[in-house]
Amino acid sequence: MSEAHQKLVVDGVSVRLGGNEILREVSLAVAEREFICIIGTSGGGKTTLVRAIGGLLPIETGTVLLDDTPVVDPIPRISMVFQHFGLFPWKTVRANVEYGLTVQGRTDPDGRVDRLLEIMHLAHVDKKYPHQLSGGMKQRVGIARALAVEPELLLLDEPFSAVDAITRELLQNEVLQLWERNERMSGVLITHDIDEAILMADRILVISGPPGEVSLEVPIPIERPRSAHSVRSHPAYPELRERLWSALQAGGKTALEAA
Amino acid sequence: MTTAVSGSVDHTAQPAQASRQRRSGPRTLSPSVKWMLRLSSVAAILLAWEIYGRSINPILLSYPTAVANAAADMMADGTLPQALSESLVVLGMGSLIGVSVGLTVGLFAGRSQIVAALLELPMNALYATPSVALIPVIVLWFGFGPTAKTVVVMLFVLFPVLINTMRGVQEVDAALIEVARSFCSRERRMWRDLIFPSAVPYIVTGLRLAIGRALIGVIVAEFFTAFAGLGNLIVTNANQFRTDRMFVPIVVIALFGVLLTALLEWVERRIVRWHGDG
Repeated sequence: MSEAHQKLVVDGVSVRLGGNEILREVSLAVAEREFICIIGTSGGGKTTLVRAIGGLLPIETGTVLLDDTPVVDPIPRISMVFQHFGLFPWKTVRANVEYGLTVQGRTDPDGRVDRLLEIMHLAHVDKKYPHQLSGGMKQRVGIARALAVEPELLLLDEPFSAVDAITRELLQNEVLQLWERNERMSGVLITHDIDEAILMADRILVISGPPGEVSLEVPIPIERPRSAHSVRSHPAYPELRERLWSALQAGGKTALEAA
Repeated sequence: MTTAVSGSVDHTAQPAQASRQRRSGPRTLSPSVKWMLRLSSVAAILLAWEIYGRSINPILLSYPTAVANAAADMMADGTLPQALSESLVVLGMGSLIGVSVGLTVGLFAGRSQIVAALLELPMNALYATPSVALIPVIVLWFGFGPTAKTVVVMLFVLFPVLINTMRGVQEVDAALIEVARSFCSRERRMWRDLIFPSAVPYIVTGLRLAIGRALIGVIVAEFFTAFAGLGNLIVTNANQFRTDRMFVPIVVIALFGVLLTALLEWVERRIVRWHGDG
């Protein structure tokens, strides 16, 4: 990990919103092609952290660096998948997927949008509007839209928490496979689901708060390609889960005391 | 019709967001049945009017066939076309200015808290004041000619459009603004992708209110001011107890209102396709 190039460096970032300290001196790094998961209890500041990384929130102190360049505003090299999909109801599926390219004044010379519609099983609904889709389909559109701009860093803010359990597992697998084929992207996934984090991540950070701080960092030694089954039957799995669970519980306690 | 049925129907109803687009209940009537019902209600009203109108003094209440005859006379002698064109010019000019100003100011006020704060009190005061109360002042300033009438229509139209447009822009989903920002959209681009489309249903509501108010505006203005237009036709015929002729401009206005509303609904269906066809 140390010899790999650090794609994203978050250095001592504190965020204050409306007088409340949400994040306190959070530091982390993500290597090229690395996928990390940030887990934490609700209200712990993990959503704030991912927005700070995406340049959507003002940072009080510290820096966010992508390839050593500070991120203060959203940049095209970072894209985001949102918990509540964030699709434009008046745009068709295709127009939603093309959205990032369009607003950034870019074209699609290699038929990337078509390919993504195909990969995400959306080709047959490309002329439909979001209200005609199921939750799982909507999030497929959200993921395709984020991938269409070919980001170097993909941020996923609890992308599977608004869909039912079966759809969630299907989507997790799709993103997992997508990830294992990917050649240059780094990823940060926010979740409160320990199993999801172990399944997807190269490394897991536990954020506890408020104010949010990194309370635990664990590498996941399970080799890829992974599946839900291979992960759960891996010898390291029970101990990993136990460690993450206790760290989350400790975080939950501080959240309760602060409330 | 039982409560049990309507209760179970509620569960299958579409989300509230789409409800403004839905004219009928969950069990949709076919278009031909709808049209039959619409026309038969009109026919029933006309028939009842005809029968009752014939039984009483024609000065108090004329009846449809007499009104139709009067309309033919007024077409022939040119009074109706002339009054209609006078009213339409005022209506068109006043609405055009009122809608343009209302839309423009509404869009800016919706997006800028400064503009909204500056406008809030004077706008609410003017909106709450019955616009009719302003007509004598307007006549004092602009005289009895078409200018004063145009100003009245403009004022009647302005506020519903402005307030609804402003509200529409303010109600833009903050989550979508964040999406747009995360994809590095510029403010100007956001108007096209986000702010305007999500304000359209509110703007249409504003326009629908404006149609009614514009018609009120032009008629009331013509009551108060110069001897022209459909409003004047109503007053002069009423004063001469020519009730059948008095009803002609009233019917014309009613038809006009129905026509404009239908036109607006047609335009709305063409623009707002994204949740009408589910």
